[in-house]
Amino acid sequence: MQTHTLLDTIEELKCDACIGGGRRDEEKARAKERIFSVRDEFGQWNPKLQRPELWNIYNGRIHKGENVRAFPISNWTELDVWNYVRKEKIALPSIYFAHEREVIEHEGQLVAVSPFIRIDDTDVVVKKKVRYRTVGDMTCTAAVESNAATLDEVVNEIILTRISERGETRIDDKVTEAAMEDRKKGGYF
Amino acid sequence: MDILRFITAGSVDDGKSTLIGRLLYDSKNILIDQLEQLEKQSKNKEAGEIDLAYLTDGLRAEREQGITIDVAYRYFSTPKRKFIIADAPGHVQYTRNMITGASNANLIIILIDARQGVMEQTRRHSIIASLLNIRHIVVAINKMDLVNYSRDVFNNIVIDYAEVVKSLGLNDVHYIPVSALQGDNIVDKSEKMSWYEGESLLHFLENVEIQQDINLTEARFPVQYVVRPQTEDLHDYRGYAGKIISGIYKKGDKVLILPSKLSSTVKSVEIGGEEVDEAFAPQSVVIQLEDDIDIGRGDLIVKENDLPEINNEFDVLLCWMDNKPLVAGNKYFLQLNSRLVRSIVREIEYKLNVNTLEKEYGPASVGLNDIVKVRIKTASEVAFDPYKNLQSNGGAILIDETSNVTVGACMIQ
Repeated sequence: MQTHTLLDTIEELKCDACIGGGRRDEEKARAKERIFSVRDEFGQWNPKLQRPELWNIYNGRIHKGENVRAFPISNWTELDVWNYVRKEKIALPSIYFAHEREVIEHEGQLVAVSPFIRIDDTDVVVKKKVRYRTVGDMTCTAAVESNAATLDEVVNEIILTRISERGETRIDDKVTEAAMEDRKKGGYF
Repeated sequence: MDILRFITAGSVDDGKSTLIGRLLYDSKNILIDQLEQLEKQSKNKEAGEIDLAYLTDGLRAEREQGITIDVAYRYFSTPKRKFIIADAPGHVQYTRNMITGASNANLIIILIDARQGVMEQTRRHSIIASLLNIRHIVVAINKMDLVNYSRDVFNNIVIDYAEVVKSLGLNDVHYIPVSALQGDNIVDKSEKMSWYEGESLLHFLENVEIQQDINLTEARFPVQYVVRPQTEDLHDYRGYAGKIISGIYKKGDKVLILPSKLSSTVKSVEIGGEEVDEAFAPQSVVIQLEDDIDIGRGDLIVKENDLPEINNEFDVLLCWMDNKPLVAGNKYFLQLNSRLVRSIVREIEYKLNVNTLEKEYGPASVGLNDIVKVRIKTASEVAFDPYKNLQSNGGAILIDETSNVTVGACMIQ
C-alpha cells in the first residue's frame, strides 16, 4: 500500500538516497538491515546479497536507477528514541499521548473506528483511553491502552512493557512470519 | 550507561543463535509476543522445547535451512549495561557477513562445539578477530551437556586453542564451558560443572572492562562536506563538516590539510550551529579555518604535531569478499573514511592458510574469504594511520569499479 506511493515518488524525484527511521530492534527482518541498504531499480531489497559494511565506512556508489535507503538510527531502540525526544524536547503529534478514542478489539489489538474500516455486527465499539506507540496507516496500526499523557509517563510505560512495539501495534506484520521481509523485498523501507 | 557491542562466531551448528536466544530468554529480555511467536514456530519442528534459534534467524531462507546467512543485530540491557549483539553466520560462504558484524565489535564470543573441538572455522574466526583487532575474546565451549559436562573435554579444547592464541598473539582470552540449550553458565553459574571456577557468560559480559576506543591524542578530522550557505547574512561563511574520528579540536589550533599539506588555524568549532570551546571524537562538527584554502570532501584536517603517514603506496592485510577472484593488477576504488581514490593491487605477497596459520608466498589464486597481504598503489596520496595504531584511520574498503560492490576489507599496515 505505502510501497507503491514510495516507489512512484522515488522514481519521480529520481532520488539517489532516501533516509528512513527504521530500526533493527523493531522486527527480525529489519534486524538484518545494513545502515546503507542498496535497492535495485525496482526498489527491491536483496537480503541474501547485501554489501559488506565495515567500520563506519559507507559505500554509497550505485548505478543509475538504483537507490540507497539510509538508516541513521538503525542501532537505536524504542526507548532510545523516547529518551532522545525527552532530552531534546521535541514536539510530537498528540496521538502519541493518551486520549479518548472509539475503538474495536480485533484479534487482541485496538483498531480505531474510522470510515476506512468495516465494522461487523459482532464488533463492539468501545471508548477507551489509548495512545499510539507507532504512527502508521490507521487501518493497519493499532492503538494501545494507556494513561501516559506526558513524555516521562511514556518513557516509564516503555520501560515496563512486556510487549514489543510492532507486536502490539502492527496488524500488517501479523499476516505471515515473513510479512516484513516480503514487503522489504517489494520496496518498503 | 555504557554499551558493549559483541559478536558471536563459530561453525555451523555450534549453536550461536541458540546461545543468543538463551541469553535473552534467561535475562528476561524476550517480550511476550516474541515468545508466543517462538512457541508457535517451534511446534512446527520436532517435538520438545522452544527453539531459541528462531529468535535471530530473521530471513525465510534462514529458517528453512536452519542456518544464519547474514548478521542480525539484537539489543538488550541489564541494570549494568546495554548490549548490541551481532549474530554472525558460521558458514564459510558467509564469512564476509561475519566481518561486517565484527568490524564494530568490542568483544567476540567464539563458540566451539565440545564434541568437535577446534575447527577450521574456529581458526578463521580467530584470525579475523585478530586482524580486526577485537580487544576481548571469549571462547565459549558449548554443548557441554552432550559430553557429560566433562572437565577433561573442556581442558583439552583449552590446550588446543592455546596454539591458536600463541600463533596469532591474541590477548585477553577467556574460556567458559556452557550449554546454550540447557542454560548452563549462560546467565547463572551451572551446578553441573562445579569444577569450573570462573564467571557465567552474562556476568563476564556485564563486567568486562571496555577499553576506551576513542583516542584523544592524534587529531584526525576527515572532511565530509563543505558548508557554504551563500546567503546574505552568511555571505562569506565556509565551514567543513564531518565527524572527528580521533583527537580534540579547538579555536586557535594550528592545523594541516592532507594530502595537500596546506596549513591554517582553526577559527571556530561548531556543533549543531553553535560555537563551542572544543570538540572531540566522536562528535560531529563544523570547523571554520582562518584562511581560504582549497579543501574538499576526502581531505583530512590534522594537527601539525601529530602527523599520519602520507603515501600513495602501502601494504594492507586484505579480506577478500567477492566471488570474482582477486588478481594482481586489478583496479578498484579505495575508500578510507570520506576519501575515495582509484587504486591498483600491485602485488600479492602471501595468503594466510587458515588451517595452519602459515603464510603461503606467491599464491596461485585469491578467492572469496581469502586473507592476503598485498601492496596497494593509489592514484593520489592518502593520509592514513596503521590500523593497529588507529583503527578509525587505518581501515579501508575496496569497491569494484563496475559493480560498485564492496569487495575487500583493508587493514593498512
